[in-house]
Amino acid sequence: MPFVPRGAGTGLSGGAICDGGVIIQLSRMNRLLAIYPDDCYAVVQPGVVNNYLNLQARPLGLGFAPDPSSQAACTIGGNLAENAGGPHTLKYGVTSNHVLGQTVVFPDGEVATYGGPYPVRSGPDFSTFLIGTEGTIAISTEIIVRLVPLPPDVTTMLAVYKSVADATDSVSAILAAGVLPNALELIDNLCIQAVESHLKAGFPMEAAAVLLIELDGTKQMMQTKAETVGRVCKSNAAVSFSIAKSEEERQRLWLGRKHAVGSLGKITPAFYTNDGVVPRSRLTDIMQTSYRIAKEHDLSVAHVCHAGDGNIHPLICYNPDESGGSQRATACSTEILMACIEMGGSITGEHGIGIEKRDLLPQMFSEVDLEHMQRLRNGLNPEGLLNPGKIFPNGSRCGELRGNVSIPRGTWI
Amino acid sequence: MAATHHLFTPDNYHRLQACIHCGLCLASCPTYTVNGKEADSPRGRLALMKYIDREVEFDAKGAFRHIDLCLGCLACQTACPSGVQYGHLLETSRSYQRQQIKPLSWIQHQLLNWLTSHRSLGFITGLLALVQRLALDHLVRALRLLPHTLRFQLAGMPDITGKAFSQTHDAVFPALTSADEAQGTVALFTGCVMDHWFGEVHAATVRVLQWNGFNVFVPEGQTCCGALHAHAGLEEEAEDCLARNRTAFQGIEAQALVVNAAGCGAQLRTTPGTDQDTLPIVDISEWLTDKLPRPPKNKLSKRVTYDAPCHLYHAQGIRDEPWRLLELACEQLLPLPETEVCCGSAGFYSLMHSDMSQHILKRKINHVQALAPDILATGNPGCHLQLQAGLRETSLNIPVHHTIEVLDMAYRLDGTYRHAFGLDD
Repeated sequence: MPFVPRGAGTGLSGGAICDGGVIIQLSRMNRLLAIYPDDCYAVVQPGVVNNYLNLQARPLGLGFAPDPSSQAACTIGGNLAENAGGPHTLKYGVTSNHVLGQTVVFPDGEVATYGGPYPVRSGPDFSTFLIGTEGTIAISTEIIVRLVPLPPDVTTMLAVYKSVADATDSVSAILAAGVLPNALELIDNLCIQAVESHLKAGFPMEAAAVLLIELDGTKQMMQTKAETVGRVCKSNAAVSFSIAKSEEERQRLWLGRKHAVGSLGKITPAFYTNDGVVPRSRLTDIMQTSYRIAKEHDLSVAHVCHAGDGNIHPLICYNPDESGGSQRATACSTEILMACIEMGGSITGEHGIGIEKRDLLPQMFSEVDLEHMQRLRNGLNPEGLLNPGKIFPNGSRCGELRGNVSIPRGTWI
Repeated sequence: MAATHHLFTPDNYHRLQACIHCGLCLASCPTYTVNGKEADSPRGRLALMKYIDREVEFDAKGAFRHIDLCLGCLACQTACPSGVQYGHLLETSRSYQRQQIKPLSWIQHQLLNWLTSHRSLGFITGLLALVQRLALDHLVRALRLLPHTLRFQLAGMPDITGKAFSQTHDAVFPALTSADEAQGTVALFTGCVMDHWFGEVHAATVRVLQWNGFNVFVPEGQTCCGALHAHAGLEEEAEDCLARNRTAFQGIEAQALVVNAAGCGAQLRTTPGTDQDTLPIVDISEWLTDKLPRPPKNKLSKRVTYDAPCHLYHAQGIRDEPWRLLELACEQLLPLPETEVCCGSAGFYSLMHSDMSQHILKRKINHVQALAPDILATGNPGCHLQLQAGLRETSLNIPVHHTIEVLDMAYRLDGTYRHAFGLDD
């Protein structure tokens, strides 16, 4: 009987969906086993909630860097499975940069431990290899995560634009000016409307896009950098540029960003979250393309982007009750992802492949690429009982686009 | 897929669809925090409601066990970025459950009626007063004579006089300030359990209002707010309570109807048909925040902490106001970790699901124990009973008081206040 590991079920590509078989619910393996502040690491069970780990580490001056927007609910095990990112990946990297080792159970019941509580190692890095395999090879039962020292201070800035292209041009310009922010986020008008309708985060309703830029470091270091950022934004036609004056204002801006996706429920009966990546220099192109494709499908699209990483999240608004509504949204999303591939990017930045994008994988990888990846998986999960049907296209489906991503009954219970 | 719509109207189904399954509610849900089951999380419960509505052969009875286990604390509504009206969907589902799946048992129904009608509550209160006078409650607890669930409820009881506030007091209380300091007239909602068991809270409420220039009166003919009925899925009875209250408050001349029980306030103000324009319904803490021309002259030299009732914090969005009042009343105010998390009382929940309720309470009591305050303040009778029982069972000698009682205590340090109300020791 197939079995599927599942954390908090906040994934966005269907990696934990179980279409027949048994769900191994790991959210109850939620013990934080130990924190070693001197060596900057923690040992956790997979069901520990990301935010909980951060809350426990904070008094020690430490934090777990990957911070997906679902961090209030998502589990470390799930972060590992999807190689999750978040706004702060620009400077700190994704989950694979923050896992030092793990104990895993293979489908045949064998238990192995890879890596360990040391930050450098040579030789094959099997722990990192397993990250992002979406629970199709082994299930982690104990994870050693790196904790990073919290920055002495942070500065959060908001740049407001009349055109999206000005905002995206600023993104490359900021990095070209030699500033590496710890977060560089773009939120477009439709998203701003949704957020401001209930949160009052402080994003101007008339803006075409805003950039949320955050620096960390000492006050002195940040001051010159903030000045540079301000200068660059203004020379790229920012209509306003401001620095959050209080912790409260800063928190409010971030609350707006973190709730941006969820807030869309206020303005549309349903939306489809896309997760494309392009090289940063193509950000302006992909944004224009995304709006154009949505328009061609007669759909509206809102965007939140980890702009510094070139990772866009077009949120395609549609009505599932309308006949053909969800098919249109899926087709629109697929076209945007194809455009990402054409621009030299990827079909996923942080949400994973799951069942959602498995049929698009052949668009990104050659047959040889895919075959070798599958050989690895099949060697370690020979009967295919662990999380079947994920990541790789099924033989018959290869190249065939799935029209309607439906969630089978019983997914949540 | 069969579109049966037998649970929800199209409007409500639309409300259900606002849930995008993002999971941000999970961490805020007390039952999910305890058992980690998706079906016992808000997202899981909404999914179950959807299946009950849409799937003909779905095990609705089984699904309702998870919906039953919901406290109705509405923390998920605060956490939800999509604005899902969970409370409304929950009550609609429970109403459907009572009509179509499983009516409330006879004893549960009776218990609910006994505790919300003045006549039977008067009898129970008289009995409880006698029990307390003879110290039988101590005996019962010491000898473990009743099931734990009942002993626990006894442990939380305040000192009961045996008579309801509305029976022992006038209906009109004049402002105790000079004419130029007069602030007008407000009406007081007395409720059921509040009236019989927490008369002292009403007395303190009235005193503080009078002292600050308000005439207070208790409108006749008012009754239970119907919250307990609504939470249990007894829609008609809840509506009946509301109708009687509407009649009682029709045309009364007051600036506001002041409520000092969070659950009653939430029920009265969020129920459609309550006319907020002609008579705003306000919580006492909300009302007084900017209307205290005569704040207490002295502060209590005590360490006080505050546990937010869910129906104040989540249902009514009243978060800082009680804190503002307590700041005026005490020297040391200690923030309680997880103050916004339910204490596990949730009306009858502590009786019906005592295991889960106790789990949730334990966490709360641990937080209080770590702070070791002299007083724990709150603002709702259910929470009051639950927290006091939890503290006594843990042998912690920490009294629970309503926020307004703490404010009144600070006023009582002043001789003129005591004298004005005949409270001299």
